[in-house]
Amino acid sequence: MNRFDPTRWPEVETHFDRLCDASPDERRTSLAALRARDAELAHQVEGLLEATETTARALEANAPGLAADLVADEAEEPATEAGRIGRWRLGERLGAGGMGVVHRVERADAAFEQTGAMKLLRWTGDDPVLLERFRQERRILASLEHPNVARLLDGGIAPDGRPFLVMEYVEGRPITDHCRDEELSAPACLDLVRAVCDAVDAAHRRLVVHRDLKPANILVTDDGTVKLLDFGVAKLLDDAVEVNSELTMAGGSPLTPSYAAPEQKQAAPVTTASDVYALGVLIHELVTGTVPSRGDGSVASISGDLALVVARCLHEDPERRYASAHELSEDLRRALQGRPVEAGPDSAIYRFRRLVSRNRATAAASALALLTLFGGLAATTVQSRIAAHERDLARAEARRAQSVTEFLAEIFHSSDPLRADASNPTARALLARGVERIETELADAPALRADILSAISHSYFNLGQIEQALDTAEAALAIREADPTTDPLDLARALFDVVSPLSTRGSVERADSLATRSLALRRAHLEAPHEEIAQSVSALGGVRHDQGRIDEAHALYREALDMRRTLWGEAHEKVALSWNNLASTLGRLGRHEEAERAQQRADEIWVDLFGPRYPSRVQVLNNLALSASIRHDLPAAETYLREAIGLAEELGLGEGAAAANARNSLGKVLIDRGAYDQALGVLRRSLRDNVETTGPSSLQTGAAHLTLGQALVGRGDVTAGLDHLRRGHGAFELSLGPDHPFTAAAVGLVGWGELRGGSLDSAAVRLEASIRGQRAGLPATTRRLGRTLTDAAELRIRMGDHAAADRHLSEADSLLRARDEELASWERARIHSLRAECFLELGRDPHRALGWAESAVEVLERVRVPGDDLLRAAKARAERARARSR
Amino acid sequence: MTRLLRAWSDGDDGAFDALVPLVYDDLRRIARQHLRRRGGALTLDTTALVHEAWLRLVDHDRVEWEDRGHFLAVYSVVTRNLLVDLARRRAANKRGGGRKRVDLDRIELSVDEQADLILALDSALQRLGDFDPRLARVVECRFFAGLTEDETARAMDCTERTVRRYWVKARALLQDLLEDEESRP
Repeated sequence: MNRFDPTRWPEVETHFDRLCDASPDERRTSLAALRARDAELAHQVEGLLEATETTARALEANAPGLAADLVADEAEEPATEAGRIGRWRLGERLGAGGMGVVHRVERADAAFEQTGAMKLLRWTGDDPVLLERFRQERRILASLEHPNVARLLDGGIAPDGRPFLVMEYVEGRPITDHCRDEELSAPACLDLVRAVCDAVDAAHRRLVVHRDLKPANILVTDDGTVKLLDFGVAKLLDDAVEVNSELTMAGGSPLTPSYAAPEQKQAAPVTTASDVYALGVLIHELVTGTVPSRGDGSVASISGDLALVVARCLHEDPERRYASAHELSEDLRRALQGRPVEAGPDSAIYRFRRLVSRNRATAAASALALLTLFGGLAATTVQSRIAAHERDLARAEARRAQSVTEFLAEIFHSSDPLRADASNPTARALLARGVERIETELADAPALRADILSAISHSYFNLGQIEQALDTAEAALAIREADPTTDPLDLARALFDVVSPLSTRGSVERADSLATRSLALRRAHLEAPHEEIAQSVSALGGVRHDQGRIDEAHALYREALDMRRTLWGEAHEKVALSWNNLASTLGRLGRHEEAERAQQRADEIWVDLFGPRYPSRVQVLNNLALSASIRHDLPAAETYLREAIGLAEELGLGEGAAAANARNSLGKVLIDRGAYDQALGVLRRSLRDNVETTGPSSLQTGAAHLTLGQALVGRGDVTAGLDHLRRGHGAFELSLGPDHPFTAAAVGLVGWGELRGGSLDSAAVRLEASIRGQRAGLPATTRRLGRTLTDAAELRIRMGDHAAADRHLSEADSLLRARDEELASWERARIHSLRAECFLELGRDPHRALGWAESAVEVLERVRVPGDDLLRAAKARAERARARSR
Repeated sequence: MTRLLRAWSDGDDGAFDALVPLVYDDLRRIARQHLRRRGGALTLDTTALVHEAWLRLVDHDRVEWEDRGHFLAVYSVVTRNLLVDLARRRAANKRGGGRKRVDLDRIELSVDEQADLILALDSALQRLGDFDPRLARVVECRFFAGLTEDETARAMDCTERTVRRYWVKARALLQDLLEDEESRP
């Protein structure tokens, strides 16, 4: 049973506040006195004092900390864009392992039907080194095409930043189960194994090692086809562990102990021979039903030549196993046909390997190729064994430096997303290829590498791949800084290139220092006006903006703009960018009309250069709409928003965030204009979307119900409207509790609905409760409270109590005046109109009333749609006021 | 997105409709990135989380710094909402009986226990409002969202000292309410 009782809380609190700072003696005496007067009260006060002595440990922490696993569990759930990741629609979860989750997916575009298995890899995806490797791997895996290998269909980065791979969806049983269930004879099983070997061999020839071959990865479909899964994926995980030592796999090591070769367990380099080992284990299991016992590689339970074959596979020393899966397959064939096997006791194999290794070029080249996939130390050791002529080759390449740069620059330019589809995977592949090439080909030409890394960084930035952009830009900067003979302007450029990705990521301090240095160098070595100076000025402006030093940011943006207009004239891309920047600082300085004009200038230039369909125009139009609505020019806001939505749909971005923003804003603007009928379409859609994505009683759905309810009530559909308003309130109450200020605001809307419907008594109760609830919580200077007060005033007027109404109106007016200053919104107009009525009824100054009534009509005429009720009522009041003041 | 935050800070709750889902999604994404494994246990760096959420969700274009208080208030609501949502889903999927007893002195909890704790505290928080709504607000900010005293003060538009006093009382009441919670059928 509760100790504490809400009804006595105020008293309890008073005593507590007094006593908690008192000395123990004082406390004891006071409590004793209190106990004598009011035992119950004393009991509660004492209880509160005691409770503050100790704190439950859980309450010393916080919810997100305590419930980290709950969040992590959620983190496994892929975040999608309207149920999609890339071009795939997400289906049910197929499983979860150490590597992450696997979901069934369907191809989402209309092109053709395809089912896949999407693996979302569980790491944060922030590490640029990791992501780069991921890309390289993907490229290689994509080139694996073999009827017995589950193809890699697609890959990329999911909206939540996690890398994903989509593999061909295979329905089948593990090979071991298949052989057992179908009761296949040994020869039949081994025929399947040979198919497996061929597939593995094909991959090996493409320099892909599986590293995790096991029955679970070798499936057999209903029609008897063998399919291998998960090529190369194990390697990605190892990279993750290597690069980020904090990252450990929840599911334990990705290796399956019985199938892992000795060198894998010792974290020694893994080669094709490790796959051969696994194949040996597989054969053993298929033939005998068990895996070989550890360590000794003995195959006592298999007889004859097959035993020799398996033994060869399982040899401790990778060098002494089969050199390729193909050789294994051949020996299996021979064993099945009763012919002599190569894995015989003489050292033929051994001599063969020796022969190969004598031919250094071939061996070294293929070894290098294989080992560069593993990266790190392994590659450098092999590197040192490369013949001198290969180094010369690299230098010769560097001598063709200029044309290389031009060539690559051409590739990168054409991948710029302002000119192409922003999610074009080809662009990313090109960039990855570029990074690869410069690492291998231009090892001896650092300055050149720096140039290309810069170019790559720009492209990554434009594609929104911020971490990669940052990584490559920092790499370029490091190269420049390391060279004392670097041209100061090259250094300035390298510094500049790092600033944007840094700022985007939020590392403001370093961005500040780099931007300042860059600008100083450029001012020192160039004569103004110069585009590079303008660039650095602008970049520094951006940093100041991030730091909240708006006046300085504004001045810098202004300087950059002026310089660029001098250099480029009025209609250049860079000038547009400067206008856009200026728009944002003007907005923050409260100069909204100028902000809107500046944004318009930018838009005009962009439309001029790129046509009316440039991709970021949707957001630009949203911005313009916002400026317009801040100055309460609702018709203009509506126009902008409709244009934004239309454009988004034309561009195929109709499901995107910017379009959703625009739709929500449009619904609101339409309601504010009184265009309730038009608002309905947009709002019903919003509600549907919300119910679909977040459920019927979520906070978001509740908010959507409230907005739709307002529109319905506004157009006279009070019953339907109230239903939605009540549902909205219900959702808020469920999520936030009955006393939350937002819930109170929702109650106010229900009250307003009831007012419109004529249920004055219940409306009165709700509106008063709403006002109390909103005041009690968050800072009370809100428009919503102003609206509720105005609604309550309207109610009072209906009940004939004009004095009370005027008090509400006066408070509402001062609340809104604090925000709006001299700007005239329709809400204030409504307040003024109602006050005019009150003044007339209460017999106060009729001229003032007239002034209010007329100015109200003026504002409403501008903003509301023709025939609007509010406008009509205001006009009627103005008429009466005119009549009275004569 | 920023525009909506600005509009919301004017008290325009039409913008709230649009703001909540965006904040919700971004928070989930950011939360994933802030999960770390330290010594085997998962932890969530809440300070970094709030800071990053602020930086990401507010692109500095059109928001005055004073709005940070409003941002923090919305952030608290949304975080609480998110956690309760996750807890409900988890509890719904659980096999076997109803909620287990919640022991506030334990902090190493299984996922199911975490869900139970969140739900119990949320329900207690709602009842806390009966005493004084500001007590509930403090819990929402300090506990559910993990805001600091300073951030809570900004969200609630009061002083840090007030926040401390409210937090002390709220904690005491919560403990009592939770015991009562457990004894209900």
